[in-house]
Amino acid sequence: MSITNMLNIGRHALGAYQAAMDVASQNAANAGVEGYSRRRGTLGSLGLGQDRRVAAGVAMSSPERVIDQYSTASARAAQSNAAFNQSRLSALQQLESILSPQDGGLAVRMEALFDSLSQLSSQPGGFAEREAVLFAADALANDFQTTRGQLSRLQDPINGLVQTQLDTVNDVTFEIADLNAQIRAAEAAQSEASELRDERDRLIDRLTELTGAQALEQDDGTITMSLPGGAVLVSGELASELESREIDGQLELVHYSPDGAERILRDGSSGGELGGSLTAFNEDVTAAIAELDQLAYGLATTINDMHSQGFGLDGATGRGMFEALAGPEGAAAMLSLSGDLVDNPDAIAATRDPAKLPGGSDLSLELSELRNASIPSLDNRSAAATLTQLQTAVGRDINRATAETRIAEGQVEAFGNVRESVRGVSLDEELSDLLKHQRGYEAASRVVRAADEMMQAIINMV
Amino acid sequence: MRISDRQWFGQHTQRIQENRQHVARLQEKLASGQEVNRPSDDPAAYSRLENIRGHLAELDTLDRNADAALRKLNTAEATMDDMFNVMIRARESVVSALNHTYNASDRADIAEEMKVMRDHFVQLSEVQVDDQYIFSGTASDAPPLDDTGAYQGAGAGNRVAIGEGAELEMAIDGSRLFDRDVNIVQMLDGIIADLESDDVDSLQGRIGDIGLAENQLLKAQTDLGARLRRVEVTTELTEDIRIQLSQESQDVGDADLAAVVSELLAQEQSLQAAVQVAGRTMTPSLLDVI
Repeated sequence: MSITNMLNIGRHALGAYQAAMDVASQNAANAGVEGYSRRRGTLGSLGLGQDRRVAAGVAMSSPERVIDQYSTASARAAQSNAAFNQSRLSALQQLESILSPQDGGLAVRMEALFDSLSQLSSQPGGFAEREAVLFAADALANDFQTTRGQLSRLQDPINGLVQTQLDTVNDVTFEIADLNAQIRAAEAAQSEASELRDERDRLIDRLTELTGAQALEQDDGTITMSLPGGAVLVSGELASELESREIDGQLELVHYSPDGAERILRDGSSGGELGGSLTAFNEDVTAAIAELDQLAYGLATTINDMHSQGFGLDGATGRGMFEALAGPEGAAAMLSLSGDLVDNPDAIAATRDPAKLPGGSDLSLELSELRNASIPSLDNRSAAATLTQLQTAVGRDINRATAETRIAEGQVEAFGNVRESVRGVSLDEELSDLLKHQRGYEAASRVVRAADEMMQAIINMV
Repeated sequence: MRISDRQWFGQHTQRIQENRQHVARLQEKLASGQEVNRPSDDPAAYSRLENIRGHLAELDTLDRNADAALRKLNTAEATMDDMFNVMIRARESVVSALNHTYNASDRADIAEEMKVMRDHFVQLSEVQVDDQYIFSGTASDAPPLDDTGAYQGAGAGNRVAIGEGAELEMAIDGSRLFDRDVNIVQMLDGIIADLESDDVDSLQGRIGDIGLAENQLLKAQTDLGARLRRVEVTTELTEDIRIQLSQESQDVGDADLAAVVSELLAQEQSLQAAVQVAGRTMTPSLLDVI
């Protein structure tokens, strides 16, 4: 035991408490920084000699980030789930407003056609009634085309969104790979590279939200990121690239490995915002288009079949009301008033019996009864019911996605809370630490002074 | 549980956000007065409402058709009344012409009078509604009678939906009116010929023919009256259905304003509470005391 040792203890303690106050200050300063994990160092007593028999004061371990692996992974999974549903939801909501416009849209146009046919029955020879049927049929065909056009155009912004998302994904994967390299290098030389790890955590959060990719930390401190379908995005210092490609009307992801190998990823291979956009494009909008086409085809061919059996005021027969359609595909986009009928209201057939011209109304009555009739090519539902079915199916999808978003957001909040509770900074805690370490620092300086006074006393004895 | 500052502030903003979202939804309901503004608000209710809306639109058309039918049938009935009056006047003229004090010249005068009646009758047969001859059956583009008084129109075949599952034949088969038991115009022509040729014996037999013609018109009128009543009954039924549907549409689709308003008030209070709690709990901190 020597006074020098006491001085040493004081010196170590001054350094240790200053380091501890540095950590508290750094934490307090970063309390508001998104993604900052608080640092913690531990104070430990020092010993000297072979078995540390001699007390040598206190030392501060190098500060490390405080994080909780489990809640971090859970919060990320929930975030990716919420992002998936939200991004699908925004497409579904646009889909809904196209299919169910405030003015009633197709439903009202279909009713108008049946109304005009019903009124034609009460005045089969009337010019005004015939004009009204032509007008209603033309308006219906136009509205089918408009709606179909809006649905196809809805795919464009979704496609654009996917491009933007992929650009971000490729940037982020590249940055993560770069940080992987830096962290490995830094940590081989010294202790934890906290700032780099915080930065990488933020990027992983972003990548998970975008793609639903999962992060797995390796022994060397690097992170491997892989998509839910298994495709690897980042491994060590190497990043893969993603691209989108339209194949048979479906938007597919193309994966390029660091060695340049190309692989097409199938549906469901990605989650997050990207997965939501792809689902909206490949499933929701595509299905709505197909059903709209089927509706246009089923309605037009049924009307045409019946109408062509009747006779116009001019005594001619065999004319459809709409231009003939080859098949359901693209039917809504191609639906138009038959050329035979354009500007020729006399061509509308109200009766099957030429002897009953112009006052016979058997056919127009039958046509107007199609309003509620089940149509075989529409799964034996009426046209109006088919349309409502299409509208409410989207409504139900919206409800489901909304509910799932809400659940996922609840999880994001719950897991996020746990995550923040562990890694977040509490100013009160840091302030009391600061006070505590300040006292320790003051005490250490007293130790130095006491040693100094003892030293003085001994010198004075001489 | 340890509460970090970020978590603390984040939770407050989250609560206030959720509250505001809820208030926005309630405001939309209040503004539109509708519980269901789009399919996703309530798919089942939307489907029912669309169904009701389509059904109501259909009822409108049925009513319009019933109105058109009424217009036509009422005109036909009034015209048939006039035709019947022509028969009565014809009978009076024939009876007076049979008077023994009348001579050939008097009967020739009555013949002139009868010609006017005949023309009036033909004119009545050519009455039109919406540019269509109503007594020509389905051949509504031509008058029912040709120059000789023979029926040139067609039969029935203009069925129209006037109510829920109710169809009405709108075409009036003129043959039953003008040429069923007796061809009225040809009969009138015969009377004129008898008067001009002063053939009192033949004229005597015409009284019975006029009786047949009157009966023929009455029968046709009765048939028309039955159709008119059917239109009226059907229209009333349609009105009943309309009231039921509107009621249901309101039950399903209209927002319960009282409920929405009280929910809004409750939501506003909890928003206020959230804001106040945030304001109160965010201030105390060690920073204030050291």
